[in-house]
Amino acid sequence: MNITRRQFLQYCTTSAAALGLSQTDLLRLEKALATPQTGCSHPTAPVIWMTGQACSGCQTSLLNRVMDVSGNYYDYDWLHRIYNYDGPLPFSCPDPDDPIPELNFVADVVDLFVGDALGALVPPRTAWRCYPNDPTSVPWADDADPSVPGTNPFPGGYITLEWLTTVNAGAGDINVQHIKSIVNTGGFFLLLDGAIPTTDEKYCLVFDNEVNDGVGGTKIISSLPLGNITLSDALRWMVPQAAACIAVGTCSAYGGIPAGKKNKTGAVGLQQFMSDNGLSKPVINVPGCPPHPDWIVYPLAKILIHGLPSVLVPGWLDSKGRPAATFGDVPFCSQGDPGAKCPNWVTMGTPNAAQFLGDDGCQAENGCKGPITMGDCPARQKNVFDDGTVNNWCSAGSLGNNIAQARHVCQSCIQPDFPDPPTSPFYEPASGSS
Amino acid sequence: MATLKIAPVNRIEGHMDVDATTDVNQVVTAVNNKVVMFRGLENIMVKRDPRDAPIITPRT
Repeated sequence: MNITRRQFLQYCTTSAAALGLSQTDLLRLEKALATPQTGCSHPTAPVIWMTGQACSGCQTSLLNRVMDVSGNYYDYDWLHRIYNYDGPLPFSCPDPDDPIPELNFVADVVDLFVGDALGALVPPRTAWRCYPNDPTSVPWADDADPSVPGTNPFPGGYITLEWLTTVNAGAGDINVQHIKSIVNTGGFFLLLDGAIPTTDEKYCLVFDNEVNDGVGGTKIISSLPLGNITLSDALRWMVPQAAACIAVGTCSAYGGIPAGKKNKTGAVGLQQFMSDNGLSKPVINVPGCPPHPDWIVYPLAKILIHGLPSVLVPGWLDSKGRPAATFGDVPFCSQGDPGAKCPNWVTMGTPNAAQFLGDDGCQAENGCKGPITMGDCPARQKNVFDDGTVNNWCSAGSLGNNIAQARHVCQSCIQPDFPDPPTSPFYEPASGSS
Repeated sequence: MATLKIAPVNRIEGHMDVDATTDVNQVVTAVNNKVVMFRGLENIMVKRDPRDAPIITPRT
């Protein structure tokens, strides 16, 4: 391919626009994510997003879920059933056909954080902090009476992102003193992206326990050890106070790339860390490298709409601790089964091997790990445009439209083995790995 | 002379601390930037299929 420098720069500008991250959107995001929603009339659920041995890809994936969609596509029956709501709809829906109803509610990530969607619809209730920080004592939120306080933790409000170093406005001790008050209050969501080192916990430091006291000295803000706090110490401090934990990304869920073979840091995922340290809290794994933004939004939206107990029901998580609605225990490629989700099998009917990467057809011979990967990636895809066409997912091809598609191989990035066999070598067939 | 600690430094992708030392006129005289996270991607790449490298190393 022969392109000029000018064409390349034009391409870069267009790509930035396609992400939806215009300067205005960036300002909205900044306001939404960096401003604590204090003094608001709606109940809010605080979120602390800690970062371990991570690359910020998970955060970038979530922040890119910014869409501008016009029109009201809402399922009135569903709204009426859930909220007894008959009024006009204050917001729009990006994908009315999404099989997961909670995701129809959240037009973009700003809605989730600012509450344009959920907060405008659901009547204000008692502040969430009034509820007992014990999910097991609360009945099913769907069956609970919303007028009775205490029956629905995190009812239909929105979240406030209290700590995420990538987007927090402040820095240093301003934020550290803030996080102390949030943790001591308890009942927050703890999100983690990135793995946790174990051979030496100092491989990942998250903040300093000594903060400036304003008169030239320092003061200590928590019972943690002096000096720089390791991620492990921070988690041992936070997890007992949290309402629930969400492990965002394969690193946080299962160890991921930092836990690949021959690693020196002994990286583990959040669930492994918690069992090693005798900590017990509900953990939702949202693997992916990076996870699709819908996968990250889904557990949060589910909890905000239906309450925390709705995700603790047996069967809501699959055998690997992931939401069964977006992952499940069936590979998306069923080797020619008519029920398979991969379009390369369904449209072809019979296996139609692609000779090279970039060709149409099944990429299994080139190393596609679809036969061992359980996710809804082929159906969900990424970068859905307004006209309904989609840009790509890893193995996309043969979809019959003219949008350029990846036609690459699936690397099985949502499986616990990633990036080790059988998910790698990435360009060898899964059956040939050992 | 005073020491100013900023840990963490926000609005960057990744982990970073800054220690700054100021003199009596509050002029910064020394700064230490510290990268406080280590994964050892080089170790993880050992004895892998070379074609895996461009898939693993960008995820840093």
